[in-house]
Amino acid sequence: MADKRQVDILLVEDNPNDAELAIRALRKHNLVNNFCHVTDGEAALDFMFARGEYSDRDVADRPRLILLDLKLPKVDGFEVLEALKADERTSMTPVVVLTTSQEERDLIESYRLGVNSYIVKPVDFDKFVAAVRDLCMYWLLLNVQP
Amino acid sequence: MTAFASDGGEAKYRLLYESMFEAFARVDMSGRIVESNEVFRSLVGYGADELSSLGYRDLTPERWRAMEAAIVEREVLPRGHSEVYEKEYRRKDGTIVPVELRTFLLRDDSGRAEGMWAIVRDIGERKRIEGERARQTELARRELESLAYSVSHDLKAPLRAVSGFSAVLLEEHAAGLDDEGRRLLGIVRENARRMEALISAILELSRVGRAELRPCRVDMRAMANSMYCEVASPEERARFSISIGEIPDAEGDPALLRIVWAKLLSNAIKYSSRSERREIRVDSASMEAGVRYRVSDSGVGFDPAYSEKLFNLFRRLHSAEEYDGTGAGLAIARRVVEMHGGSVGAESREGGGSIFWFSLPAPPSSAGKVEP
Repeated sequence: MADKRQVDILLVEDNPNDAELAIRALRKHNLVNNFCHVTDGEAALDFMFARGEYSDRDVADRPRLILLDLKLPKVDGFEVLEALKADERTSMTPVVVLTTSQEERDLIESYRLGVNSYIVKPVDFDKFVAAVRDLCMYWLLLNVQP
Repeated sequence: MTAFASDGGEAKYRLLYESMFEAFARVDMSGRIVESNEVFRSLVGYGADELSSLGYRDLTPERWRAMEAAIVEREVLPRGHSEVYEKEYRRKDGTIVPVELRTFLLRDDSGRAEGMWAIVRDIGERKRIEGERARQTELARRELESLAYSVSHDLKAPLRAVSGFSAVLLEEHAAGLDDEGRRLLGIVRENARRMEALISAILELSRVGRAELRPCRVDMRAMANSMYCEVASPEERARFSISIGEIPDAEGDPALLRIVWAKLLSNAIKYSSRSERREIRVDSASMEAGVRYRVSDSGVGFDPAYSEKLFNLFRRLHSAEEYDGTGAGLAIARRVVEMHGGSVGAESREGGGSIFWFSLPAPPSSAGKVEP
């Protein structure tokens, strides 16, 4: 889908429709030059730690932002978040949870594990596009990272 | 027991209480137990010898003593007997047994009070069943709430696809569609929006229903005022006049009570928005069991025949074209108020408008408490 090396955004989303809408929203504002889409938590960790299918990557080539769904096959979003925040090679990369869940315990668990932002996916497409635009603006343009 | 002295009455009286299924104990006016039956002794776990040196207060856990003393004072002494009341005994082995009992006053020949007796029933089993039933009901309710929650979540993903892809179709393939095609697609999107509102309402209702009550004293006047400022837009605040009376504080969960005010006030604004007079009044009335808080408006009002149905989920008396909304607000308000042990209602106001009210039980502290 994209160059595996220099990636702005890693999108971790198993629902193909949600992924397509997110990608459309990302492209719509030309905010993102390069992104990678994976469909489960294991692939997300392989990507970040340059393992398996992504062993030709360099762990040092970190994406600037990770958009993470919580309900994922194999390794779920919490486990991905925990593994990324526990490893100093990946702990600095901002992770934004993008999910349908407004459940209090999901929110608390995400923040406990060190999530940088938690966004509830709007159902309405215009609002969804606006949310993706705003969060990309903030994390890729406005926010200063080490 | 002089009254039973003649013609073997005393023996028959003993036989009567020994043959009863219920526990029986007689005390003198100091409260010392002077007589009891086998059922009573096995209920409290003491032998007859041990009981003779004990008073009924010794068998009663501290937290019941004041209540029982009040029953003796207000019922047994003036009327000769009490109504059935519940309390607990502490058994010899330290365990607690819940009982219900009725206490009678005994007088001597000259009419002077000489003691009391009580007929006592062990209600441990009944309490256990009641507790179990309440637990089951609570469990079922919570399961239903979380079912509503997860189903609503699962409905959102396909709905996002319906909304999203019809938007993409409209934006990127509009040229390939004629006017009718675009109109139909607009209807699809509009209905997706509506369904989202309905799902969100179910989610909110379910979230409210599962909330843990964290009650404290709430300044209802300040809360009504701040919620009005929250739900009314600056333009609405300019067009409406609101008066909030000296309403009393309440005992309740502030986060949940805010929802009640928000729903009632936003309804009052919504249904008055087309009226000539735009007045909202918040006041209260004290009722026997607590306080009734009222929100009155000068809006369109409603047909009193439907006042019962107003608080049902998704029940609306106006079409969506007339007034926007899902019909969940009052159902959510009702849920919150009922969780607080209160009730809700609505009345049509003469000369137009309506009054929506909710009542909350009086805070326990206000029940005759004397501040030091």
